[in-house]
Amino acid sequence: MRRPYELLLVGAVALAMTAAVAAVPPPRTMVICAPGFPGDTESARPTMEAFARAAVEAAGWPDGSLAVVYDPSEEGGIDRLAAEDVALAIVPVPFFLQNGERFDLKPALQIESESGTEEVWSLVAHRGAVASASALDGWEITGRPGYAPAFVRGPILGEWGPLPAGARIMATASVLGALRRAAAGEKVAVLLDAPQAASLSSLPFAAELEVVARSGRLPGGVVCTVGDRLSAGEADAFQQGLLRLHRSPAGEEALAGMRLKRFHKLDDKALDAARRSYDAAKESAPDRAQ
Amino acid sequence: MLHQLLIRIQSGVLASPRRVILASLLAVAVALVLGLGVEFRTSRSELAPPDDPDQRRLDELNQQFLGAMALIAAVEEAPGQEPDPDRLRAYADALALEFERDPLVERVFHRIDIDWILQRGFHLAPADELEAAIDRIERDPDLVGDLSGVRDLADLNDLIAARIEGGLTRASLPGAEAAAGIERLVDLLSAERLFITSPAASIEALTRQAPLMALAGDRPEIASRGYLATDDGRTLYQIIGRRDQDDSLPALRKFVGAMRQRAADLATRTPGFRVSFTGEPATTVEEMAIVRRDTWFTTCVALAGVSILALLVFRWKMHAFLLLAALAMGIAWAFGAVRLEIGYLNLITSSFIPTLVGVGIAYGIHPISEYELEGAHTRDPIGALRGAYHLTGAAVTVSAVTTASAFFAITLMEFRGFSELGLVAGVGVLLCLISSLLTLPALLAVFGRRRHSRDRSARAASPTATVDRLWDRHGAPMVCRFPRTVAIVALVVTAFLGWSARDIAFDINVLKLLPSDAESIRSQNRMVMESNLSPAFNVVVADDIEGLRLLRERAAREPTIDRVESVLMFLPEDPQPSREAVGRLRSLLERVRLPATTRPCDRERWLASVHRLQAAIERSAEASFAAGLGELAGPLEQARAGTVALSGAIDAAPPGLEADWDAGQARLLAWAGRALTALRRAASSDPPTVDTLPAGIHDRFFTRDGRPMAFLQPTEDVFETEFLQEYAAASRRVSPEAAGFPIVLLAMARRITSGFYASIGAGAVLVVLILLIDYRSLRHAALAILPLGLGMIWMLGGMRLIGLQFNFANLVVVPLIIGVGIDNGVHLVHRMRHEGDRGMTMVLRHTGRAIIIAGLTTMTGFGSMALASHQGMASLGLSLLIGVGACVMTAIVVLPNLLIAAGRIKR
Repeated sequence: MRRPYELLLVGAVALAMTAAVAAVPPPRTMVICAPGFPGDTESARPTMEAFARAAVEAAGWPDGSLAVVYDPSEEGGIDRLAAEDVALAIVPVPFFLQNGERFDLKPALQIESESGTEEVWSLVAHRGAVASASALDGWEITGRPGYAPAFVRGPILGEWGPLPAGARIMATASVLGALRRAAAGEKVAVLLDAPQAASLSSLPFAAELEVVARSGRLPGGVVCTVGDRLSAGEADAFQQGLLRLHRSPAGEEALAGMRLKRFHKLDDKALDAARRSYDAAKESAPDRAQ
Repeated sequence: MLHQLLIRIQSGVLASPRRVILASLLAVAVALVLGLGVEFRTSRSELAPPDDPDQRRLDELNQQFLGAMALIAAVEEAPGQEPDPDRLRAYADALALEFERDPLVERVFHRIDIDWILQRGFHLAPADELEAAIDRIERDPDLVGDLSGVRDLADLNDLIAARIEGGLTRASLPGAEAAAGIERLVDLLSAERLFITSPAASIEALTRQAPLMALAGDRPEIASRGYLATDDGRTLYQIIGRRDQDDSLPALRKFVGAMRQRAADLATRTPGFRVSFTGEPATTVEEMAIVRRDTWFTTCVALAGVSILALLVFRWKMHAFLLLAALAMGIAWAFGAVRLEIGYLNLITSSFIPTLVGVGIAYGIHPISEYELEGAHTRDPIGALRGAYHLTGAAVTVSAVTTASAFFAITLMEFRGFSELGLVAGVGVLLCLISSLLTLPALLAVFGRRRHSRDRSARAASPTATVDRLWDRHGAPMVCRFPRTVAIVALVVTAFLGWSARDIAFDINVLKLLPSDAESIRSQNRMVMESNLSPAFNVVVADDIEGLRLLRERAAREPTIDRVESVLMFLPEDPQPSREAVGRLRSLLERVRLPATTRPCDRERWLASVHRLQAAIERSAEASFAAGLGELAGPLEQARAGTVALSGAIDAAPPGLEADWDAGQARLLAWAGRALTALRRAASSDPPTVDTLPAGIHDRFFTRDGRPMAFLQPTEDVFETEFLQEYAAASRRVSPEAAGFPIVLLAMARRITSGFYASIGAGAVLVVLILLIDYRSLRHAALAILPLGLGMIWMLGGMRLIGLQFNFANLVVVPLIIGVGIDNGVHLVHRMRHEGDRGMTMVLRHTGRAIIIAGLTTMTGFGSMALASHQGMASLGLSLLIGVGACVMTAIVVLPNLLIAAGRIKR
């Protein structure tokens, strides 16, 4: 027969184990959605795993408590965000403005890519074909942010002038193909981000094209929490971890694999300005902006 | 005391002028005899101090090394000729042989043995990179096997498409290697298209060169076949080393002339080519020829201008000739004195004669001007001469002594050329003074007496010329008419020009001193801009190869050093790892099997392969552009365009070409077999060693006594002062014994600029001291200096406004202007003291007249240099023209009006 203190010890150990198991948070998922960017979920997996390891280490989360998944399409990103285990997301601002409300995305940080924290979009068309926004009637406007037409009409091209009703805004992952069509004289205007615009001159048909409009500086991409799936403490620890991620060699390497440099605190003013412009575009042409 | 002394001297001279003239002529004879022994040293190294370590190192290097100071010939096809690189190379070889036949030539370096390099190229690649490349190939076990299945071009297209798709799925980050690979793909597609239209011609183009050469691609050193060439290969260079190390002008002229003659001889036998020369010997010879031509031209202009001026302004024209005769005697004495002072003249000091002409003429103008105003031979000439020298003698003496003192102060400059010019010119000024105080009055007395006794009509003549009367009646009173307005305007102008002058720069680019269209400058600029063969670099020497590696390591840490050229470029880093890596490559190449036969051409199959390749390239280009990788997306788009053109060419090819394609593919396969054999042979070669280097490479990178050298090529233009300082310091950190033109250039610039301020300071102090001794009044000394001070500000501001910078040739203008410009103030203040209360107009009528004449003659003498095509000489002339003109203006306009406006003197 066991003595009472032995029973007590067994009970204490069992209690401690239960508590320990209860203290380990359930695995969380972060969705990185970048519509129009190259690659696919499978080929990006090693990079995402490296980022997840570095991020949890920086945040002080237990090993294996975060899974990161990449999706290069808007639809894929939406499907993944609908899953219950998704607690975090890194998305471009057009995606955030278009889908943030639906998934209760709360912006926390902003990213700094190799081209900076802000994005400047350039609209490129056949040389001499477009003199003003009104000349785009009957044209196709395409590019990476084309999945969010209100973002194109508002934050990107709003200052240039209102787009005519006949302009069609389309998303494409084949930006180069669209540029080829534009160079050939088709009624296609292509939106390029800053690195793409810088690369434009390297193309053999660059002489046939010209930049007809440029956006102001817009926020590029944001890190969001999804609903209240993270406690305030967890969210804060994770954000602090991301903010110092670039300081460790492993973190720097993980960021470089995603072509990122570091994370910054959110520029609320810039994001609010983009949101106001987006909302205005959406209200002024609700049927076309969607 | 000075007055008393001068009166006694004049009395003696005027008592027996013929004796004075005779003595002067005797002195001229003695001076000319002495002058015959003056040596003309034309070597540039003579300009540096004799103990200058930088110059010594450069001289030693020149004796050891064929390169930095060698003559360089640039060979190109004559305009209008159809470019033919092979013909140009053959001509370059013939020209090198022609040069080498000349007894003055030690050797000619114009190409490296490219075949030797290609045979040993694998050993020259870094062993770790070679290992990594082999690893990459071996990680893809199918690749070697797939090659044996490539039986036609369609197979080759599919193989490439599969590799591109593989790269995309691996999502590997592309780099420079990928960009280079895409460029080769573009070339390959272009060759494939050529093959479709004319298979025989395309195979012919491929087999015309050795397989290794074709495989090495179109890198500049390969494209030029080892010849020293511009990037476009249209101009080939030859570095010609001399047996003789004498860098005097006659030796260089003889050498360059001989090479020009050799080139001309070959041109008559083989026309259609053009040879130009550059490098230190050609530049020096051309510069000296330009200087000589300019000197004659500007001297003629100066003499004509001064003579016309003198004839215009002097009432008696003979006075102009007597003035020039006295000046000539003074200059002849100065020339003889050079023998006693330093015994030789160099490139800089040989310019002392024009300097003395410009300066010394003023010492005669003031007495003659006064002599004419005193009546000259309209009354007793001796009395008039006494009066003239009484009024001007002291001022002339003081101004000459101050000028000489300012010139002597130039001796403080460390740059030997300028310091010796200061000594020679300073003594020369004193001798010109003696001539104007002794010889000139004697000549005037003899001429005046003769004229007075024989020409009765002269006595009734007006003592002044028409031009003088204009000044006397209108000019001088007009100057002082609006004193306050003129004073205020002068102060505003001075403030503005002073502000403008604040950032006038010193340009150390000696090449800019020559006309930009000079042959040697044109060739050198082209060489620097269009090739990597800049002659302006520093050289370090090691005791052995290990020492050389150490120097290279140090150089690699220096951001101002772009690259190090040395024999290490032709030796493996470490023979053992290199041997092992090349051994692995050899076994890899042994495993490569080519198909035994080709497959008969199938147009449809070929077209389908091109479409598959196009699709793969498009996907890759899209991914690259989306990621912002323009450096890849651009070439990939070119490759895509290549596939479009290729499929178009296949579609458009007329029927019946299949037989030619089959034959072409068979020849292509045979060529591939030969290329594989050549690669295997190259992979079987022994690593190169110092002992097995070809003679051309050995001669280029080893000193005559067998020590290895490294050429430290700068990242930027060595004629930028700040960069030059950093580059020279970096070279010294690589080796304290580093030598070369850039280091000597920097040392020369430092010597010139450091002594510059010392000489200006010393000159100014001496001038003030002499004036204080003469006037015994601080106020009068300050007034005499004021026009010079203002004139200097005006000159510097004027130079800045017209974009003139200081350079090696015109920097001496500042101490020169101190010497020349002080005269005006001295004369003016002397006259003011003499005239007392008679007013400024009276002072200007007499002394102002002489100052204008002297100023104009000096400006004509110096200003003639502004017409030179030699930019250094022209900039010196222009600076002096501005400076002398400014000092005249400040003396006869600004100072009088300032004094009147301040109430110090009446109008």
